[in-house]
Amino acid sequence: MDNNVKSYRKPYVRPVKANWWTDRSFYIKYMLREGTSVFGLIVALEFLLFIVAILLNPIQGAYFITNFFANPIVILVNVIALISVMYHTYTWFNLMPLVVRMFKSKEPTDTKLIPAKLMVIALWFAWVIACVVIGLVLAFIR
Amino acid sequence: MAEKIMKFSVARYRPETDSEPHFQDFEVPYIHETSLLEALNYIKDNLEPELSFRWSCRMAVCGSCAMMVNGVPKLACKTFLRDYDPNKVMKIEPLANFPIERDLVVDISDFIEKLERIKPYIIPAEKDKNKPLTEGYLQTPQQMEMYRQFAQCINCGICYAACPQYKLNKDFIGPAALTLLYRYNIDSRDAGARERMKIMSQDEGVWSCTFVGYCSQVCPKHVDPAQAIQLGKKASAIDYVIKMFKPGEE
Amino acid sequence: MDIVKADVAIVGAGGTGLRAAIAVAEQDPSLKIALISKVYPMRSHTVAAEGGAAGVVGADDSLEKHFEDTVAGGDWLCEQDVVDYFVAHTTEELFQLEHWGCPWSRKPNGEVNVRRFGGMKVPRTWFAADKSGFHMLHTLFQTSIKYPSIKRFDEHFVLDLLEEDGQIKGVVTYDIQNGVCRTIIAKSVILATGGAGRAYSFNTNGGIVTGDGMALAYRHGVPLRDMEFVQYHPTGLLGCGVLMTEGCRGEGGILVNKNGYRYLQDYGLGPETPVGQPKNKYMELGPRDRVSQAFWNEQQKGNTIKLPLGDAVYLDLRHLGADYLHERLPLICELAMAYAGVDPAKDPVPIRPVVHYTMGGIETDGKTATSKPGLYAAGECASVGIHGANRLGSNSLVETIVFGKVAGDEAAKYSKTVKFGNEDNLVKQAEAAVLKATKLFDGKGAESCSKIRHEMGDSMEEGIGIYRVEETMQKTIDTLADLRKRYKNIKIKDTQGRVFNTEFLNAIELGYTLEVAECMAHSAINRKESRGSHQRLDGPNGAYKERDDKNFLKHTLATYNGDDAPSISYSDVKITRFQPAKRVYGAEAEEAEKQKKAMEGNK
Repeated sequence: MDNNVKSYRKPYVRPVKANWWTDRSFYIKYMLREGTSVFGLIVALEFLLFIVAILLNPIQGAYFITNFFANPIVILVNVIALISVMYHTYTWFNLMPLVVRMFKSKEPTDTKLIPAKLMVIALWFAWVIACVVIGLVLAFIR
Repeated sequence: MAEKIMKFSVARYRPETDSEPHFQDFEVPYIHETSLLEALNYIKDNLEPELSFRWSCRMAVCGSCAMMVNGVPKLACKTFLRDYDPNKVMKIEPLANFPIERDLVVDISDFIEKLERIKPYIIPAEKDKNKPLTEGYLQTPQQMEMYRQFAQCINCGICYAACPQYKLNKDFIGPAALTLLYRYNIDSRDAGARERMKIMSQDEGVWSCTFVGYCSQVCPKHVDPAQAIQLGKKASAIDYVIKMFKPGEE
Repeated sequence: MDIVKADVAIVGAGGTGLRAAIAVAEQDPSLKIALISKVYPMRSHTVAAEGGAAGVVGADDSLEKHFEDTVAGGDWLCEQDVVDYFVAHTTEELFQLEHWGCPWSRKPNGEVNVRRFGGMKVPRTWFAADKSGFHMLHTLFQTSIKYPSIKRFDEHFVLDLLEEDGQIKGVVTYDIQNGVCRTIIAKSVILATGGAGRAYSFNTNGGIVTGDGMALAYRHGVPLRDMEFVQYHPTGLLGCGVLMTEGCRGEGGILVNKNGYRYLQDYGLGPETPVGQPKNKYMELGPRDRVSQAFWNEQQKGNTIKLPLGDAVYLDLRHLGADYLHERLPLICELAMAYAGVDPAKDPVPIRPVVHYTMGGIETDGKTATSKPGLYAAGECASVGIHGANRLGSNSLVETIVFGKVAGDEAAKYSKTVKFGNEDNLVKQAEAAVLKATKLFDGKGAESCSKIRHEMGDSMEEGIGIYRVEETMQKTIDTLADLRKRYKNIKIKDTQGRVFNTEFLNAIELGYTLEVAECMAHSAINRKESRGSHQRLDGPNGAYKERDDKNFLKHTLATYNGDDAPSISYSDVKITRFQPAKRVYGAEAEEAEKQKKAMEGNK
């Protein structure tokens, strides 16, 4: 098409505000979900710290860890982290079924997918089992 | 039947004379069945003939009349005044994340270009290229069900208005186009998945999505683009791993 | 003015326009195609078609049966040679769409499934749930992207055709988004602009279905044929007119009056078939004209249900069960819920007949060529001759692709035999057309466009409805003549707007629709008989209530006369082998079939 065509267009592009995510509760929840991953990071760093401490010196390391956890600020941070990570888990468990699209059977006429709810329940079930196993292992170590 | 009155604040923008959008107020009588589209047509017929908006089918299948209703992207023809508080003002704006052309009309050419880019057609396998017109492919109901939901998109653009990633990065191919890409990839008649993988896996493809999920929430046809994109990510990741072990294969 | 050149220009990008464009591109990739549409292609009204598309596949079916259903359904006003071509090419076109990705509903073994439809002897309607038009349109649009020679002019509105030495040589368009005019010089032009249902107030059609192409051809001297035949679909949602597909009845839905009585058995469609066991050509599976007419009669008898939005009867689908309804008729469930607040699985749906389709249109030969060299027409805007006085459901969706392809092939061939018109001459014409259109911008008028539109719609409902009498038809004719006068004095408020000036656009559309409406009314008043969708209640001793093959086994032609009413003339109907007979359904049809077989046996 000719480039010398006159156009009367003057499209208006709306500016993107920095606080766009406060417009809808859905976006706020999304930002919260993403924000909770920061606490996931903190927990991971804690673990890393412990491992390094134990590897450097098992006795002093264990002493350090015990002291570290006695600190009220650390306790507070870990309580918040627990809640955050639980929320993160909750949101991810709700989203997980979307990535799995499975039919109830292999019959060519079966058009019913395994319902998302069932998968969410299965995930929480697996979570509970994992918690119990870890708890038992820890109890055994002591 | 008693008529009620709804108050509207409708965004206006005339490129020939205005430098930015402003709002104009209207009052429209309505009954239980009145849709927002009918209200807008009432305004155009009786109050303000200048007001421009796209519409056609009135039955939520042509995808023309998407706009923001109190900040939520919706089809005007499938939005009913009865669901809104008559003591408040309904705020009507053009579809978010697209440039405003005039009043409630936005420029969707970027979205259309993306639909065209993802090769949205059957790319047949070599053996099927000259299939005679006296027979079809065999496709079981289950094989069809794999993609059926993702083929329901009416190209209204609502998911683009809902997507923060598209808001921040206009290069993102976006929900509807990526869904259509996935729809063709999993059609049992198609053999073009490898060709489309490059488009899907590029930076503007599925990996630009952070799974906000609002697109699926607002989709008027329950297409669930977020799901299609996550399934696309899975396919893209598997493809990446395969390429690590079998480099050079296209 | 901006000038674009193309070998073939196609106006309209619905099912027909897209199929035509692909046909041209496949025939010769070197041909340049301009695909012009006033909306983005997937907004075209093909999108709203629900039920399906007819194509013979079953072992119990034959081309002859489809031919007979179509010709009898059209009350013998069909061009029989064209119907022969049509039925012979439906199935391959439907398979073509299947190859292109259309999600036709399937049988358990993976083959394409078919459903029952009104007026058809055997199930032969291919369907994609109840969104057949939607899936066909999107499949065609998406497939068209594959062909680089198809250049789309989306949101371009055609203001006029360009003519040179009696040949059509291009179109002049208003580029809605850029607010400028653009001349498209072409060797051949295909009109594929759809119907004109918006001439009526209560219709199933989208806002864009304003008869643009019909008016364009008409103004250039091409007759509009059989325009009196306007189809009322029996089942539109009360209030808004949104379509409840005939597929509802094909799947087993029933129609009942206020007493819960299946009234169709009183109108030559009986005897009553068991609920949930639909039988082809019986009861609810009668043809659309008959079923709509039955509603009118029930209304006269006071048997309809009085609701705040008007009189209705019930479409009852409850016995089909929620699961089946959601599989076969998901859109119907969604629409009934949204627009009538009724869940079809739990409650009957209030419906009434609603204007749906224009059987008539631009007169073409069996190969879609009009009387103007270089101008082709196909789809609902055309009268290629397959629908006669009443179209059978699911014949029009498949018409779009069968004759879309023919139009594409023919226009492509023609474009290779001619040269482009003289550019200066055509641009001058284009400028004159733009000047004429933009005269509306002087802002001096006094008439309201929307008022004229509403008066036109109401007057058409009143005079050119399901049943017609001379007196009210004349009233409508007078009203339309007056509205055309008033139209010359309309006021455009937005005289500055160039980009997306929908007020201007709608005004031009209204001019088109008014002229098409006038053709419908004049064609109707002159047809002094009852045939298919054209039913009269008057005449000396009620003579016009019957079909009159002696005088009216003819096509009506309405020819443009400037500001005056169209002149009406007639042309012959092509009858090859199926002689006119009484149009019968239900038990009567079975009886007739038996007699026919007996006669053949005797020979």
